[in-house]
Amino acid sequence: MFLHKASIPANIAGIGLRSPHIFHILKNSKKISKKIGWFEVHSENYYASESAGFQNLLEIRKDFSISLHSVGNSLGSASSLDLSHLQKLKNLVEKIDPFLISDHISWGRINKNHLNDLLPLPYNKEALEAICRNISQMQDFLKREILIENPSAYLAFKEQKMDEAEFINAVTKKTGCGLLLDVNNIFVSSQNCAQFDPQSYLKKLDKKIVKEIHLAGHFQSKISDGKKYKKILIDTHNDLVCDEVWEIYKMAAREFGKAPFLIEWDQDFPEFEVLLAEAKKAELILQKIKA
Amino acid sequence: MNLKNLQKNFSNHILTKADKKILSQVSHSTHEALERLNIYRNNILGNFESVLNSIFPITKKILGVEKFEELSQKYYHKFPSKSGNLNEYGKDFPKFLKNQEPLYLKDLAQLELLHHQAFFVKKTKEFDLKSFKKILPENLTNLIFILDPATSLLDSKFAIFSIWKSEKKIRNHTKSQSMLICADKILKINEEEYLFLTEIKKRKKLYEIYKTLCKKNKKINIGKLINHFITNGVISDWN
Repeated sequence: MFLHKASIPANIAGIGLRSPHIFHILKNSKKISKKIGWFEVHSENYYASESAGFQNLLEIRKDFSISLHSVGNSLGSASSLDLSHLQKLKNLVEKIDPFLISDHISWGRINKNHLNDLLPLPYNKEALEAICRNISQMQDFLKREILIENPSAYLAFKEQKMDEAEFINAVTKKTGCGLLLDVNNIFVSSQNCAQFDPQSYLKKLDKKIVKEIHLAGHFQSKISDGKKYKKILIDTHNDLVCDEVWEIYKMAAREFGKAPFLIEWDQDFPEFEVLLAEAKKAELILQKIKA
Repeated sequence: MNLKNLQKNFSNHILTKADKKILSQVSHSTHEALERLNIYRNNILGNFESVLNSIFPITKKILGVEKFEELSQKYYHKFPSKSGNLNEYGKDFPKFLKNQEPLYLKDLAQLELLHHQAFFVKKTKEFDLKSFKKILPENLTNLIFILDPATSLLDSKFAIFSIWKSEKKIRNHTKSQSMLICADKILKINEEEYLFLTEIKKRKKLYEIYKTLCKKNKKINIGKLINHFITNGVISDWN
């Protein structure tokens, strides 16, 4: 059993903390803390605990809860976890005491080399066993529950024995981890691979596993099948949340209740107020559903 | 195909388009599957290039966009990422540029790397001038000064500082230059200053440093050097 029970912030609205906004946040933290309750950081950016960036995070930590979101543990790798990487995460967890810790349903490491990306897994028994083994090792090592994020996919594998929702249910059941439900990723994958309808996907997920929700924007591009062009969505986190994704968020909020939600924006950064406005929009949706 | 082989084939295809074993595992037509895999390739190689770009902007300017992109891709094949933390990528790039024309590129990249790394090191406390002034003159000679951990030194037989500052190729690049690198600045230092700071870095006692400097210049004013580097925060402490 996990030794640490996460204490959810009273204000469940969160924003991804990114460097272009840090000085604005430090300068206006009291005002901002009336609007959102927490920030999420990419864990790997704070492994250098001597850096000025880490000192800024400690300062922000005084007014906000923090969630640590990793991209580099490669939970879906056939090879086992990189323990030196995990140790750095553990050091950070001890210093920050995050209320949530998460990574992805993906892989990026092959033997000792890293591709440093979130690559897709085939949803079959062997991948299920590999990811469960790695999640259990990570949770045992950290003595904390972790959340895993559903991926955005640009292709599908032939050898799929289950769909993504079934795979997630099996992983969470076997390891006791939670789900970080990225509603933009649901939309992106459903459009790119045409394998599922978002509503059925949400209905299929076990009710108690969703512990956080991500909202983000994406970029529309195109690919060719040799005869004609097809639309493809790229999970770039560089735009406003689109209407279709807000609709999926409404369904998710109805289905899973009030989970902490996060506005993610990773490129082409707007003013911080734009992110606050997106968070406000999500809050209003939750209020309407509650009413 | 087992998971290990699937991931190996996926990785091989991303890095060398010629390896197409992964296509048998992807449920799209060959043409479409290649386009879809290309999205992952662009993300991955783009991320690696963008890390190198953020650490080595002047090296990129000197090389030009196309050459830098070509070298970025070759660099990954020779020095693949060994960490799940992308921030650790690129530290062998100067070594990789060793025989690349113009020959000063390796040193220029090393300067940029040291500057980048300085941001991740905590600056120590202010030099305690009050306590320092209380040290008896007879004890001064045995002092070992300590440099701020966020500083580093670089000596090059090329005019690296001038190239870095002007952000372009210069005519007279064969003039040697030494540099002091801090998170907030890069300073060109003279031969005497470089020797003085190098000896401190070797943890030599003050009288040993004085003897070494005297071999180069009998009229050396070591007090002036100490004062200068305490004032600008390079010497941070003593033992």
